[in-house]
Amino acid sequence: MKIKIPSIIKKQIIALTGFLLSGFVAAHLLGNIMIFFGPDAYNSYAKKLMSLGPILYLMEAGLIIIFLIHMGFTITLVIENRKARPIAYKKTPSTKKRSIATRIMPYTGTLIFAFVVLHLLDFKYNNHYGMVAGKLQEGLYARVYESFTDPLHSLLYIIAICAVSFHLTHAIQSMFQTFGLSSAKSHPYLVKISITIGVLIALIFGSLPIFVMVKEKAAQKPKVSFYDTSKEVMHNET
Amino acid sequence: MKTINITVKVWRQENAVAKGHFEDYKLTEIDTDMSFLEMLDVLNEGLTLSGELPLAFDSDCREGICGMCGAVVNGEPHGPVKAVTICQLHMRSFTDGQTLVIESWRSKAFPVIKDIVVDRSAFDRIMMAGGYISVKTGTTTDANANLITSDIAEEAMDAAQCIGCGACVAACPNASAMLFVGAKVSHLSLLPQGKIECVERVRKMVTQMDKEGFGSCSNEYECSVSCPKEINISHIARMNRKMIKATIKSVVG
Ligand code: FES
Repeated sequence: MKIKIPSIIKKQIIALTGFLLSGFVAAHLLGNIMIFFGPDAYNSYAKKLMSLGPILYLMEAGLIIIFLIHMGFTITLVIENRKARPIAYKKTPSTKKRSIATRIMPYTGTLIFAFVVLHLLDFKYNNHYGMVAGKLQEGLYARVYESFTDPLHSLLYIIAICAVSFHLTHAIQSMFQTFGLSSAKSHPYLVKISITIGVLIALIFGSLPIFVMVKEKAAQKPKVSFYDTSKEVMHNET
Repeated sequence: MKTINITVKVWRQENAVAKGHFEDYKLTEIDTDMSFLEMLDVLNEGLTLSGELPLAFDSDCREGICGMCGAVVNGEPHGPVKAVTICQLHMRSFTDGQTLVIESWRSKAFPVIKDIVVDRSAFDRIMMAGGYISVKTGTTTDANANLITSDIAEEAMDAAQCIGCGACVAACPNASAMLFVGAKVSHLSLLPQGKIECVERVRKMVTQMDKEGFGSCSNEYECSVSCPKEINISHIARMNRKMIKATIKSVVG
């Protein structure tokens, strides 16, 4: 016998997994802020994370499962929803209440997925070397730094961050509604909070590549130097 | 008396299985004080006189209280005026020379019967699944026998305003019936008589709603804007909350 999950429960599962994923995004954001504090802070943070060993793998596996559940249920719902209106309107009702973020949810979601894959290949499953201010350095910092000095790379990153931001502006308030935690009174505030968080994420994450590019530009001018690169030692793999 | 000339582009479909299409009709000297449905009556008079089949459309009270009427006009369920049904819409809301695209509600769960008349019995089946209370209510009780605070009474009344016209389904990008079901769930669960069966009711009504082929709510909030009774989306939130309870109960037993 096939157990049919009620539509509302499906959405609540999407909301719950989405909540967990945004928790990850928040933690990731806090970690990445370390870039602002230079290579030592960032690399030691990365090392600490790697030293978690099996716990990290467990968390990663969990994250992948959560991600797949989130996408799987969403895809089934999107397909069901398309089927619910077989004949389209000549003049489509809408745009009265729906924000752009709401309308493009499945697309921003797809974009985020594509980005996550790229992002992992880029930073997780790649060597951790990179050119920093014309010198080859070891460490995740250098890898990230070099990537961000490439304008195309930075642009892709910023687009993906905008997708996350848009996704969250709808998602956060939507989660409260789906769990039934919002009321007629609180709903308008929840919408505002959602938008604020979305914009903040876009600004903080989005400023990372810009920060690196500005820093690199400055480093290329011989006299201005943000930190002393002469002390940096090149490590050889042993 | 002010009159306007308009063109109506309306959905014609012979029966449930036929393929529909849009047909253009020119209407001249339409009195702006006419209601929208009276304009359609004028159209039908003309069609009948010229030997064509009149346009089939639903209406009953023409007072905005029964929920029988409904059409999407230029992409707006019940037309451009907020918080009115199409029977309460007047031709003064339109301008001279305007083209009005008139369509039926579009949803798999609301199949077209003829022209812009749709079969909304899906709503009835959802109500039959759980939209009732099973206690004998007997004769009217004493006004103060059941104490209900005024804010609860108000909220139940707000939900009870739903006339089941289906505009929420028509407006929803997913053709979801959540506002309708949410309103019914809220209306009953807020009052002491309906509280008893609340959890079971939610489960039954939602199961039926899914069976009917309505889409899932993705919190677009278009429904509430198009609702002639301005039912608030907080009723959907209440139903979502109750659904968690219902599911835990059915899993744990
Ligand atoms: S005909 Fe009764 S509400 Fe419009």
